Amino acid sequence: MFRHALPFTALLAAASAMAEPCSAPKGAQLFQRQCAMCHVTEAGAAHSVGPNLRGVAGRAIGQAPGFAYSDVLAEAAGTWDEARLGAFLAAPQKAFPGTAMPFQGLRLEAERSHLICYLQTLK
Amino acid sequence: MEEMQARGQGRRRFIGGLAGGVGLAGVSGWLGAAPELAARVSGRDTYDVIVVGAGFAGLVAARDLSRSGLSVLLLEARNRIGGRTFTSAYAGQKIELGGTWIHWSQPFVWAELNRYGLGIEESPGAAAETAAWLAGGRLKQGDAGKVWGRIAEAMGQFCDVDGQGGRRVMPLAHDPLARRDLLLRWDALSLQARLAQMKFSPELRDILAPQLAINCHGALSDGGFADMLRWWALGDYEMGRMFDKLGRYKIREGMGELASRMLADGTQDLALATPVKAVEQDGGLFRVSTGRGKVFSARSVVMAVPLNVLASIRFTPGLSPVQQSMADAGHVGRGSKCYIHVRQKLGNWIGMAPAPHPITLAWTEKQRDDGTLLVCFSPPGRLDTTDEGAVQAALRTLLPKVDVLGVTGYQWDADPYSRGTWCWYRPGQLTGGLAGLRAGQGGLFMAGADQALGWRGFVDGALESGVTAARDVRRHLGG
Repeated sequence: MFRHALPFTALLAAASAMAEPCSAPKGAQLFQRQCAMCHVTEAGAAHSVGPNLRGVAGRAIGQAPGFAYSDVLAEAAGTWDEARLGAFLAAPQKAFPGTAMPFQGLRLEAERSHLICYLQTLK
Repeated sequence: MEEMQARGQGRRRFIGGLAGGVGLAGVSGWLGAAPELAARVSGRDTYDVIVVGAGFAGLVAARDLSRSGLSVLLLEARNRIGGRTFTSAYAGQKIELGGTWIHWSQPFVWAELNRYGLGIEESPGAAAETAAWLAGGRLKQGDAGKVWGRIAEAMGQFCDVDGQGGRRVMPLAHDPLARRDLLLRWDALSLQARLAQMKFSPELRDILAPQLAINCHGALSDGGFADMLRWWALGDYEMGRMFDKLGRYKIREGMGELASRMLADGTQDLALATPVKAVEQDGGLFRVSTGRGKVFSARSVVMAVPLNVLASIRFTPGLSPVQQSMADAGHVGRGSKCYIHVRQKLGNWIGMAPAPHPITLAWTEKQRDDGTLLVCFSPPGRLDTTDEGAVQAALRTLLPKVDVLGVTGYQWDADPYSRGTWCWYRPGQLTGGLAGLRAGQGGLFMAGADQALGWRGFVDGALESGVTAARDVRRHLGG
């Protein structure tokens, strides 16, 4: 049925995008170019313009000790799981309207996936 | 405000972010090792002066006011100082993510360089040898000097509104309204409308349009023509000299170094990560409210925030009608700037394309051992600088075989504390809004690069406005 052709193709496309294994090295490279001007990752290092992202995966949202978050992140509930990181990296202002992070988001799903993989290595 | 004892023994006083001592940590990280900046935190909440915004306008106002013996609190929304300048690094090389270029004919910034003993270095692509441009959608390549000559001639005609190359309508570059009577009719035009008046060939139009687009960093239909006349006068009514002042020389030690030197030179308190929500005048005292309910008081306030964020702050009594109208409309500069690392060694190259092409202008910023680092400017919303594939596709229309190795940049338009890049006014804003925007009322003074008289939209203009505001505050307080 033609009616089903489009959704089915879209599903295939989505599946193939998700099928690409995420690459922490690619994520690290992306981090250096898009994030490192504001975020440090060294264990124990002081926060920079943005919070230190060591251990961010699985951490409570907006609760890194010593960082002054925007109200919306400071008052957010939950932890940075994959879904929340993905939504935030895709469109920060949609995920948390009022966030001060000056970033419009990573449009490409594969890039978000690489970046999250990298963040998950920062334990 | 939580008090904390910070490291170091200098005289600088930092107030941390409202969640704790983050402000100190943040700025010292960015400034590098600068232990002399760390000092005790003040617990006071009443000052002679509160300066809102630690870009160059706020930094110089806070420095000058504190050095004249007044108690000063500098409030900054971000977790760093420097405003729309931000010195960072790409693959081991220092880069300026925001405001970059200065010139010795910009009096306020040149004086600061001299004061702190800082130097300059050249961006090589500003004196390019080879060029690529799109005309009628077709790629042309050639000697940069030749195409530059054509652009210079066209720009001269574009700005010749009075048979004297603009000198009669804009005779004093640091007093743009000196001949407001003559300027009015030209300030009614957009850049697009002025371009439509010119009898240029399609190709000439296509090589002049990118120059106009990078200047206003927006759509030609939004950018006012009067600001082009202003830049032309600031550039000594000549294209080569104008471009030298706009994009050729940068601070060798970085914009961040100048900012940190200025900060260290004052005795003001500084609170980072402390966005201002409201400014309320109550008799002879101003109450400045920040996030989470903290209120500071002062006898005078300097608002040194970008025009495009002014509307996000609540004023009681309200801004004047002109100020409100300027704040609501905002300025035009909302495009993007990024750095593109390519594998090929391009020499000193410049490329340009008219809107809606995703690249307005790009040129060699650094010849590297592993290729070339280009600096690239784009119209608002046209280039996703996080998508290297998209950047490569766009760049290949100017450099067909180029390989992009990396892209970096800062998204100024997405930053709630800048909402744009440099200031370029809309039609009518220069003759109808500038004077009113600058007007202080009852101890509240306006500052910032976006309302300077001379180099408006530049670090020099920011400094001019901050020095001026400090003078006005001293007069107001009788100091």
